[in-house]
Amino acid sequence: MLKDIRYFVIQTKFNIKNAYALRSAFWIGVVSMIVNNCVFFIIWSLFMKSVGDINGWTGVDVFGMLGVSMFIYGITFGFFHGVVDLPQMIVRGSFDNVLISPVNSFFKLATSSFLVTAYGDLLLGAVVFLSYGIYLQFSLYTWLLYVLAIIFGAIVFLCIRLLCSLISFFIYDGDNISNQLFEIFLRPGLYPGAIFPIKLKTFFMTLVPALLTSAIPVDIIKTNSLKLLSLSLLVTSIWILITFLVYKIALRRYESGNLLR
Amino acid sequence: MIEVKNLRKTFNYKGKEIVAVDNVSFSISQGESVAFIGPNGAGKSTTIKMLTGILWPTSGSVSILGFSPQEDRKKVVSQIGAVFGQRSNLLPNLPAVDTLSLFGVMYGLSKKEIKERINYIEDTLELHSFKNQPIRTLSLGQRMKVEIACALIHNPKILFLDEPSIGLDIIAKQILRETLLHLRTKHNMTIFLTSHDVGDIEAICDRTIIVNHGKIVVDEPTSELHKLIDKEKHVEVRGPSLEDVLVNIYKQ
Amino acid sequence: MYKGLYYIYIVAKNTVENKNKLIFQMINHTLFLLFSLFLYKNVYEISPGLKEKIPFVNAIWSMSIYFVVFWLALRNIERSFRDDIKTGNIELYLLRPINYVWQKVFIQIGQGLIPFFVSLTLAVIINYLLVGMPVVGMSYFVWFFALLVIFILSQILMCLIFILCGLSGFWLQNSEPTYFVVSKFIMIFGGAWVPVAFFPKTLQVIAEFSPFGASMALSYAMYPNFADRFWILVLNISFWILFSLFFVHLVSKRAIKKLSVNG
Repeated sequence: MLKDIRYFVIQTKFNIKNAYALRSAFWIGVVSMIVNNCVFFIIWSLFMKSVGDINGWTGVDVFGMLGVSMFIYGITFGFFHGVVDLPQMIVRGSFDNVLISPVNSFFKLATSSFLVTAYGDLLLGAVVFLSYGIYLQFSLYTWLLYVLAIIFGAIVFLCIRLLCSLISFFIYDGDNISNQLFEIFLRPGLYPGAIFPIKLKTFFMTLVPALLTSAIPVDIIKTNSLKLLSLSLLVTSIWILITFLVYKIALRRYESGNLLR
Repeated sequence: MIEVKNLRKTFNYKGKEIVAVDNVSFSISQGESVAFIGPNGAGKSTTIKMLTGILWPTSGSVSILGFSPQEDRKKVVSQIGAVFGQRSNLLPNLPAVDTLSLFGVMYGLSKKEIKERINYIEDTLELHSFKNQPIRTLSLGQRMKVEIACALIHNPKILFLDEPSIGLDIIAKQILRETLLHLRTKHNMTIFLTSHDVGDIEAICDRTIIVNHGKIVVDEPTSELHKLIDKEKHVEVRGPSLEDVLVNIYKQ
Repeated sequence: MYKGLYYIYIVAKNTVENKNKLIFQMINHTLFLLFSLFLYKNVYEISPGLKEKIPFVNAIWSMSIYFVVFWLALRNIERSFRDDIKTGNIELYLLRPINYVWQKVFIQIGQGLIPFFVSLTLAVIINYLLVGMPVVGMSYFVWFFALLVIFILSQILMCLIFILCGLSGFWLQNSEPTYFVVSKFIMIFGGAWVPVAFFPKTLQVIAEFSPFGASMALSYAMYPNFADRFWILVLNISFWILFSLFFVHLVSKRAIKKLSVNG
């Protein structure tokens, strides 16, 4: 396992180095994504100005939520972009290279492709979510809750993205379908958590855990709730288990030549 | 048919001038099939792009059937067909007949003309066995046949082919060569081919123009090329080539 | 005319063969419509004052129509140009007897036509059943024809805007940053996530009269004051169409010349 993690770190370093070799293209990609993301701040600040505070959430909380969401997106797409490319790899036949590699197939897959613009999400997200914490003067305990919640959110985000890609092992033309499925998951996470009624919020925290990757970390630190954090941990663990099982089944299907065409 | 005079093409790259084609001149008559070959970077693709009107020459002139491909693009494209080896014209989810119909409409053919041309091309290129299958289910050789069919729908006088056999297996290459030979011999089609595959040239082209560093270095009948390095005739008796053996095995 | 319609027909036929993709797209669309509806119902319950800005039913129709037009995907023309330049496939299109830009327009319309009509049907049914018809200041019969006019004009403008974005790739090497900026302005001023009626008054005017808002004028056609604003919307969109048409004509000639000169 240590060997696989070491491989992951080194491959990621090379991916970044390779992309950074074209310096201007790298920075154009990063900056254009930052500009792209600023739109969400504009949209939701206009919304909050019009609607006012909702269920204890202010405009600052919405900014914090967007920062968390962008940071998680950046982590997943910046370090594990191969997971997104999986359907295309299957079509091209280059998934075989993943299987014959001497390292863990997930780490090999994850680092097999790279997305420059994700670093725009990562950078902006990090600046915003850190600024949120500093502005609200988090205690050490609150920072701990915040960071843990973001880690759980990132893991769930990665699990869902991988599950959407794994559909390609079962359905022909999985590329388009996996993107559609992922969008169904992604969109609710871009809305302020306060506007969700309780039942809808629970649904989007468990069965379609979009809010775990955006609003829930903010809810956790607003209430300093260890209970909500534990619930996040439970949901994350369940999604890790589901993803692991589906991944194993998908690999077995591919290796046995049962790939549906 | 094709008249090229002192054709020159230069590109600007970071202030430096790169000469891709350097004073190339040749002419091609109707019914000729010409291989235009050379090492990588010799200027083959640049030349073919100027002949088809995609690129404008820096100097010199090109005349295709009396028209300039740059000034009279529409007149020229309606008289030529083009097949690019690594690019596809085909709609992946539809059968060949739909793409052919679309091309027919694009070239201004009437419904009756399209139907007649499709029937004719199906017979000529033997597309019957797979004409109703979606393109994505066809083999590479079959797809190449359909690509050529699209290039022929409007009954062009000249067929340009840029590396058409790239990535094709032996059987697919044989299908391609047989198709082009048929067009040349039975329909007197003028063929202008760029290829790295010597087998394509030997099978299809009766004339070979070799370019290197943007200039024409050889312009001879294909059958006479060996005389450039060999003054004596050698007679060898040998069995079938490896390619012949493989073709035989694959076809079984 | 016939060539264009046939081109669109064949491309649409090709697109619709991939039924799984269409089904999943429409599932995505339906879920999102329902999700937005229930979410904004909750927002209006929390802040009842919002109905003074725009009635709930009009807000829902306005946001739905943005996403219906989203499926027509004329904005993807930019990516299509970008891919053609990157792969060199532009050469294939230049060898055909139809102008390159027109081919791209036909292909884009063909690809988006069926998802657009299916999503429109779904949106109309869901909205009608769950929230009813929007409040408009005219008979629904007249409103429908007025919508059609605004739809056609606004989509022509949308097409021209993204053609210009795509053509910028002939100079910038990568037109994606231009696309990001333009599409996000359209997202804000088109009322994708938040109805423009929620904006401060000055910003509402800027949104409506900008080319970005004009290209999504169909969203404004769902507002109660549409009857009063119809001719202003038409004049505004027409102005931006003429403006864009001039630039598209100028830029496309130079773009093809640039390609022809420098490959």
